Amino acid sequence: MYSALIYKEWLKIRWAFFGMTLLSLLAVTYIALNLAYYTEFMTAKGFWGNVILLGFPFYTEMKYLPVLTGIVIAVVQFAPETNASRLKLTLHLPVKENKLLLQMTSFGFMLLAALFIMLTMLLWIAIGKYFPAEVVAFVLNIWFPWALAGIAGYFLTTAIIVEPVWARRLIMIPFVLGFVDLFFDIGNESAELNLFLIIFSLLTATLVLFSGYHFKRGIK
Amino acid sequence: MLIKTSRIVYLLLIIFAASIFIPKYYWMKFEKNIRSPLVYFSPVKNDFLIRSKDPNQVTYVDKAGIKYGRTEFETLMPLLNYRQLTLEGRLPDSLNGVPLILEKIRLNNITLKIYPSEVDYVPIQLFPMFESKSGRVQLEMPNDYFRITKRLEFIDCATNSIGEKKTELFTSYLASKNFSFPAKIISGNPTSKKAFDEGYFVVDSKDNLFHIKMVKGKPFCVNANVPANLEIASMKIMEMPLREFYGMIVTKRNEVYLISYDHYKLIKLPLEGYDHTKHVLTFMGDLFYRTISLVGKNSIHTFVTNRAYKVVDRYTETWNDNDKLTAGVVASYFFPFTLSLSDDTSSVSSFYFKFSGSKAFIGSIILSVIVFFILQKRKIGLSKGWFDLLLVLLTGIFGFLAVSLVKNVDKNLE
Amino acid sequence: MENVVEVKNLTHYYGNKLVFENFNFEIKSGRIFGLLGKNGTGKTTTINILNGFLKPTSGQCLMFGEDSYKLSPQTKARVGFLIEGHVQYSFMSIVQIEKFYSSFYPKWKKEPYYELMAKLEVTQNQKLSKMSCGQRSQVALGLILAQDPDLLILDDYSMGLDAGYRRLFLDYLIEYAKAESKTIFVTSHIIQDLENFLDDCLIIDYRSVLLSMPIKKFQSTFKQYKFQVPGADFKLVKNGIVRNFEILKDKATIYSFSVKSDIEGYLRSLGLTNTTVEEVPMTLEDSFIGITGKY
Repeated sequence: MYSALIYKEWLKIRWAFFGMTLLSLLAVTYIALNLAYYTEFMTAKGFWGNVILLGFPFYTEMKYLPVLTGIVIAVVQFAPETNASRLKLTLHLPVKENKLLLQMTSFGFMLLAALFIMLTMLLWIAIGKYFPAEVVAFVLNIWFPWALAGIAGYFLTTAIIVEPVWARRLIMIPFVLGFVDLFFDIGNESAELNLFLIIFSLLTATLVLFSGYHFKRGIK
Repeated sequence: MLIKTSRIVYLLLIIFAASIFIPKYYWMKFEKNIRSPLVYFSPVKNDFLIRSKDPNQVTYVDKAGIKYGRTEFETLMPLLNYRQLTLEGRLPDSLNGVPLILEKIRLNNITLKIYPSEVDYVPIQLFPMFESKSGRVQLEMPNDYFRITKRLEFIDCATNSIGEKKTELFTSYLASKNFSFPAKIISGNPTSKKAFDEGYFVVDSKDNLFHIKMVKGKPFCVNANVPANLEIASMKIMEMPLREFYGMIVTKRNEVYLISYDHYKLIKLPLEGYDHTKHVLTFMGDLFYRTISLVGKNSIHTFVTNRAYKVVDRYTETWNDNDKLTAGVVASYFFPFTLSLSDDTSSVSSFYFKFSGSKAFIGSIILSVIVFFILQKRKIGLSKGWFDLLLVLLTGIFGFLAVSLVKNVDKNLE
Repeated sequence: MENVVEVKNLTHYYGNKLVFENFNFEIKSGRIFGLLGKNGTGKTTTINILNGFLKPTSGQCLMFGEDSYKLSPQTKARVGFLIEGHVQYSFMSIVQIEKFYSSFYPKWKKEPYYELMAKLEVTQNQKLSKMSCGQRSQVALGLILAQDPDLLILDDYSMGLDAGYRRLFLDYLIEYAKAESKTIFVTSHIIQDLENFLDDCLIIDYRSVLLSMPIKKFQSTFKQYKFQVPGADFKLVKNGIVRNFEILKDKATIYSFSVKSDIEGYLRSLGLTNTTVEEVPMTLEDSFIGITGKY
């Protein structure tokens, strides 16, 4: 039954997922090309100086890509479920409702996680070609909350879409935007903050259940 | 159970976001730019001159409260304003028996600043090792960067690979000087836009301080022989033509030392009450004095010493910062705490809570009572509503916002 | 006989607006039950409560003995649900959608589904979103038949369908209902199709239940009487005898559960001594309009 559910989710998501993967790969390619470009035009030691001593951010193309991907996947996965009360269809399936919703979101999560891990590896390889491990670690450290924003953005968007009451959706949006925005303002996070962001991002997976609960309560 | 958990997550998200953004927007509107006064010590009067906090009005007062205008200030601070005075032909020939030669004035005017966020900042541990005696006027950026891990490794920029010969050379030299790898702290001035290069001061794994640089391609490494229990937190190295000291050491116990050129002797600055997490340390030096200020959010403590670093005079001033002004007082009633993920005092992003103390507690209690009545009206007993009440009690208006927006879960519906 | 559905004192408000109050009915196993009423009287609300998509303001709704708000997965597998408008996953093709649903239901039989699909002029890979309303309704029907549920809930199966598709739907349902212990719950506002289909009916109006009884009894005891009246200003009122009435010029119609002789007696008591009362036969639709009124 899980595999059937995954099948349905995959049918909905696949094109958007391919599209966002392609976009991400283009972005990484662009960064890799930039690395060569800057090395040529700033000279290698000039480029190193800019990056190491001045913090030149040659990787900003990656900044909003994960969160955009998360939102797109969430929309593509759940919008078809919720228009014209279609959620009733899914909730009628003979599976516990919470389990159903979590299975659906866990699939989206796994796809996103796989994509982000792949991108991390690609960044590692691309940057590692031009810079020592210290710089790679520095950039990946900055990239990490951006990728996490993709996960949180995905879960939070699913919760907003599944929420049946428009007024509640509108209320949720500023808080969700504010929360996700925080992932982009930080650099050099303490271990506690990192841990909190990871755990909380995963916990946002439960918010879709709350929206589902509202759907069942049938507030009109 | 799951629904309850999701509600809690939702509440926490709202409280988290609200406690960051609501105060943030509040202060954006109401924060006043309160600047610290600038404190100078006049070698002419041998007394303080304080520039007012108002950026629009440039006046100076002395300790007695007498006001001075800009021209008078320049006369009283000839070493600071020697260029203006020279232009106007007003620079005296000598002061306090010392002839005022332009070159000497320039050489002895030094300034250094240490910000709290610099003290805990750990940059990327890759540094340029300059050729300190190249024979050229301009320093040149090297073609490689070094790190000190198990060895002192030079990594060539163009090939991103280790230059083994140079690495071996330096590593064995350091080892011969009893340097214990890896380095704990590496501090220098990694820019080519300085007059000359003094390389790096490095704390090894056994807390010894070494001075390391490259002279004519060969390694230079000397143990500064600092006391064992110094507990260096951070260093600021700055090459100054005066060549009095290489830079400053800030210790974990908030002591500040100058690393002098005289066999690395440490000169302790006679400061009291320095907290590197709260104060900006400004160091201004001229021919006669050192004026060192510890600038905080609502206070400035200035110590003036002679060239031998003995205290000659002190000045302290406190003022009301934003927290004490109206906006701040109002905030302390409304916000039981504010949260920010970044702070002036550190380069690290983390949880920075600011608690308002007991004043906001009154508000929290009132809001809790309101919530209690709302729960009663909705027929939710204490056994179910205790969490909401506790949340509002602890987080005040943020919790109130959260529990109002996210109603309690009906047990029958889970 | 088992009660497949039991509704006890069901009351629901949307905000301050009352939808219905103290609804009570049972659906017995093997019966075909129709919930009839004009638009907006609360039919879909009842369906939503039945399927656990709405929590009633008060009262209880049981399906196979379970609280309908908390149906177990096993019970849900026994219930086939047709959503108003034949809503289905329109991004899937007929092959994909059958494959999807089959894994959820242990009793799944794909033959009836594909039999039905063969009658459609659609390709295997055609997405539901690219089909006509009628074709989509057949897909929805096929899926339900393949599921082989014990209880079939159809919320307005006729919506948007022309006569041909409506008839096809009904034909299949009737065939399905012939099997043992299959219970069907239908809501509709198109009455004529249901004439020879329903066993029991519940007719509701805004905020009240007008009628709850087996169809045969309804049709045999509810009658339409026509007679002449002196003028348009002749007054009739609704009471125990007169369920509904109409007066157009000098012709009056009374809808009633009473027998002809009682009607004649009543009219005499109103002063109409010489009128002939004619009993007019009614279709189910006529009876429905008779009891609910034209407005």
